[in-house]
Amino acid sequence: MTDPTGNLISELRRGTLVLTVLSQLDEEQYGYSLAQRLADQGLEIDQGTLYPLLRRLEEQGLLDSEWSVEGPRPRRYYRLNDTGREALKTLSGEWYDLVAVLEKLLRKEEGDESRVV
Amino acid sequence: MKAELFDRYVHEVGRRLPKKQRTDVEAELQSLLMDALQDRAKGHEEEASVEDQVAVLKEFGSPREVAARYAPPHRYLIGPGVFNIYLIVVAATAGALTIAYVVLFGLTAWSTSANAIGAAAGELLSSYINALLTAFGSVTLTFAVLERFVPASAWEKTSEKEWDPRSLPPVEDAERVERGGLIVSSVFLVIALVVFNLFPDWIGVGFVRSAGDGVRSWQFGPVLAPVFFSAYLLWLDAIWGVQLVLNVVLIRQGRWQLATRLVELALLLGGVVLIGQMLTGPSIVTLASIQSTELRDVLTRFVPGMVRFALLIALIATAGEGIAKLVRLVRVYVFRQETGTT
Repeated sequence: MTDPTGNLISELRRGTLVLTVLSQLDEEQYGYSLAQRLADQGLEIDQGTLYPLLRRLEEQGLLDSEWSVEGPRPRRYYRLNDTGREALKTLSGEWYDLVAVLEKLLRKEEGDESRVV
Repeated sequence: MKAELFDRYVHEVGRRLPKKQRTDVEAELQSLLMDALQDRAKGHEEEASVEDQVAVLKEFGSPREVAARYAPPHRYLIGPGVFNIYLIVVAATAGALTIAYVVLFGLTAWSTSANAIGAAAGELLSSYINALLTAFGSVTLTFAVLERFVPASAWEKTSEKEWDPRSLPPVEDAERVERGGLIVSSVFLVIALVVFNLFPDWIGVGFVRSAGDGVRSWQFGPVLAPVFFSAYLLWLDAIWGVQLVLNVVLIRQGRWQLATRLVELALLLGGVVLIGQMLTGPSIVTLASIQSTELRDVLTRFVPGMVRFALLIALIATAGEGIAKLVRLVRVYVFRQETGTT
């Protein structure tokens, strides 16, 4: 049987994926460089998930992309467009609000536990 | 750095994607896989091992999973997972029905008097078309029900946990020539050229005739009209001759190239024009050689119509094939060359 906590963590991370990706695309990146950049900052994202997500965000009009033949092989570079920047601003605001609320909720939880203990 | 496993993987992902995004996603995926491989095989890039490729592919996930992420599953009447099986079942059913009706027609022709053959053939033809439509409908309905209630994963050969990149099937080479088919086609072309030019009397209507005393006899009458020889045969010879030369060139070269694809397209276009003229011009068949007036009257009622119907079907099929080949040619030689460099 699969570990239920592991699934919950994956689900939690999946919810932050779009915000994570948008936050890194103010300067243009190709898929692999983005995956490396996130990994360097401690966030390993499954490549089979990340690359299709870039496509979907582009289809939704949040990213622009173009092929570049500079370098050892042709690469598709992605970058935030104006709609994407707006979306990033809105999502970031939501994120900070959510974190603030969750912090309060979690502290209360910890406080309850310490009282019980 | 050569990574043959990647080609197979990319092809497997691509064939599960909608056509409009396939080429572009394939190009990007190939580039990303090479990035990952280069990173993994740092220091020995030139001789990255199969194990390195396998490790990279396992990180990416099975072709089915990755394709599903690129193109979220759609609702299909009959989905891509079972479509090939569906086509085989439809073809097998249609083939079995056709054989059954040909046998039935033979038996009917044997047991029916000559002047009733026309009516019997018409009845059989209508029943055959009905049977074909019913079979097609039943097979389609059955597969649609399966599609609705059987999960797509049930059609996958291996479970995702067992997925091994080494088991990826080789990439089919779409430009590879099928020599067997070409040899068979060439034999038929030679036979057609010989028969139409040297023995045109062999092309005709055969029938069983019952004499008054109950004795049956096989009779045969050639049907090609003089207009066929004066207006069309030369062009038909030209098309078949060029097709034969093309077949020989293809068998020798082993692969399709732009020039041979263009010749193929020109032949299809020539075929459409020629069939179109046969269809709109004077009838290419005549029943003047049938001696029995009674039988000639019966045959006149449906043979010219059947020939025109057959020509119409041939025209639609040839034009359809021509359009499909043209679209493919544009896609392969124009669109694909642009991808990756824009």
